[in-house]
Amino acid sequence: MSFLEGIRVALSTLVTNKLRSALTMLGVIIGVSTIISLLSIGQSAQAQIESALTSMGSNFIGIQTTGKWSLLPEDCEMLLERVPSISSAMPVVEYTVTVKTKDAMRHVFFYGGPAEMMAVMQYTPGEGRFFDTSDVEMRRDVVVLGRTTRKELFGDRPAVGETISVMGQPLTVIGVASPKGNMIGFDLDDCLFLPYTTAQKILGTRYVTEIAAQAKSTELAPVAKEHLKRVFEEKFRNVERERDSRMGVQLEPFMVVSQDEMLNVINQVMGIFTVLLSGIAAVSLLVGGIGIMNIMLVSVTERTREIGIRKAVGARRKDIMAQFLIESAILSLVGGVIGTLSGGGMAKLVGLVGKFNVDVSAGAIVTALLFSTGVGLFFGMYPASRAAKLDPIVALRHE
Amino acid sequence: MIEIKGLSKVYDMGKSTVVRALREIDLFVGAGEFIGIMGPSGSGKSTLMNIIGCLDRPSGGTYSLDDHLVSTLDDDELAAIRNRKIGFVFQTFNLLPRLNALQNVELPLIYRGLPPHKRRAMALEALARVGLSDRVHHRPTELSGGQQQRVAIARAISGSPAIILADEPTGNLDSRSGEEVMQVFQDLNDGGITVVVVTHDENIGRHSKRLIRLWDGTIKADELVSNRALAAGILEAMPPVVLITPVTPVPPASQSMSGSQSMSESQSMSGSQSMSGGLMS
Repeated sequence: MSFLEGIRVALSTLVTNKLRSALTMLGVIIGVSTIISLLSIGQSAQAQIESALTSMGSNFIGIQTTGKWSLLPEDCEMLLERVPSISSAMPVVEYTVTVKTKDAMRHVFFYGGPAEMMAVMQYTPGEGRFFDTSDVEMRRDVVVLGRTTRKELFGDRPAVGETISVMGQPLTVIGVASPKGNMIGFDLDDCLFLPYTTAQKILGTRYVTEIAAQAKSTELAPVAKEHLKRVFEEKFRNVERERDSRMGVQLEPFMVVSQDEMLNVINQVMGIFTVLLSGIAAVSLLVGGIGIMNIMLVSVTERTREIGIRKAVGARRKDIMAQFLIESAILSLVGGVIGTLSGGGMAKLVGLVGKFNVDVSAGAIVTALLFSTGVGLFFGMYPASRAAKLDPIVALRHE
Repeated sequence: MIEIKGLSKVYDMGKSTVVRALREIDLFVGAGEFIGIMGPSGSGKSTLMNIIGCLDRPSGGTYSLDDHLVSTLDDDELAAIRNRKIGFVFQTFNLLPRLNALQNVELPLIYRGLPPHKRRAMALEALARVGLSDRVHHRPTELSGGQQQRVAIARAISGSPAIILADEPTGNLDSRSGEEVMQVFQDLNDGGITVVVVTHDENIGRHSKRLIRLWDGTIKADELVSNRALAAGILEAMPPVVLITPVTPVPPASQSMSGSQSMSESQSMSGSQSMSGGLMS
């Protein structure tokens, strides 16, 4: 019997038992749907975080203190002098604050930095202007709003020239940044930007929370990182190390994190995530496979007489084997296709709700379809071989 | 055609119990013969049938079909022999209910690996030979018992087998349908096909040219049927329209081998010349 003939026979059998076929497929559909949706969401989230990170500009190395604030803006000049592999170093103050206007209030993230910070973070002016070097030097009470913050505080009314209050300090809005959108649900436009000097004034500190250095090239980035580390080790040599009470380890008083490392951490987290999801998907596919095996065994028993007839008229073992294997393969393949469609739809829906772009990759689809068909063939093997081994005389007598 | 020498079949029932279904049987069947195999249940006729049909292998002795020694072949080789050399007709028709008549008849040709257009042509021809050209697309449930059995016969002959094996082919049919089926067999046999019919019905047995009687796994009698029943004539003598008539079971005891017709059913067929005459004479 030809392969095509086998497919025809299998299809007609499956169509005859529509409800049963559908229920059998359900297990595979759920399994494949889980794989596709979770894989797509995971991959898209990862891609988005990566692109967001690299869009911050490349070769960044962040220096943060872990305990008390102890980084000074003046450190930047010192670093530029002592570390030749970096091209720039920015003092940055990051903080979460409450912002008030006459009739609105909002908790937002703020970035205090030098004049070039916004360009480095790849924001462009939407309304008004960004703060400049003189604003920084003069510690002017000016602020630039993210698009979302502007909307929340002022609605459709003009914002530039208005005054907002940050921790009791009135600041004049001089500009609004063009929207950058979402990063996996995190709104990049719900924030404030202001000169770091002004931020220090508001927070009443002479320190900054972070220094953002940039290596001269990708090749130099590891060198720069190592160099920066040395410089800070020397600088903090006399600082008493804080002890983490829970872990019982001494913490370095500072952290040097490069963009590469952040990407690596994200990739690691995503890797663990993927392994977990694959486990879930594997279990559901396994359950689906057992469902197929169960139904195929029932089907073999039910069709014992048919098998006997086919054998009597000349079907060989492999013909019967093929007939049942093709049937279970079709069950799982069709289940796989439906699962792919529904999983893809689900992923898109999650992207729509979470406001980020989700792509269903061809690799995920191919993997899911191969796996589901493989499951069908694997779990169809035993019932099919049982059918193939039936004694025609016994099978013909079967009621 | 069929050469059986010293054929025996022993079933091991476990606990040192063995059933000797066939004991040292010798049988030769030539091409074009019409054989009836008769015997009470347990006489070994089903076992003999299964072995001739290559569904089963003998425990001892040899069996050659069409000059092929088949008693030593493996399962797949037997399947190939069944496909090419043997056409089965069963008591319960054994058609696949989901397939229509044409598809059922095509079944053996599919396993022979013939292309669709060729097997379709062969199947249509076979259906024409059993007079069912107008029922090609009917499913078994849409056909009468007699028609179903004729579809089964068409399936058996579609691949031009060397031999047709029929196991109680009229057992589930009323007398008229049974007679029609026997007529098909006789026509096919007249066309040169070897037919072997297994039955416990004397009436059916007498349609064959040569009767073999089995008893306890051995051949008790093997003789030519001198006064053969011809289905065509019997059918002619039957009332043209068959009402719902109860089929009277025929007690085997009443079917004596004497020349007289004692069966209740055949009373209605009286007048048919072919029914008279003794089998054993």
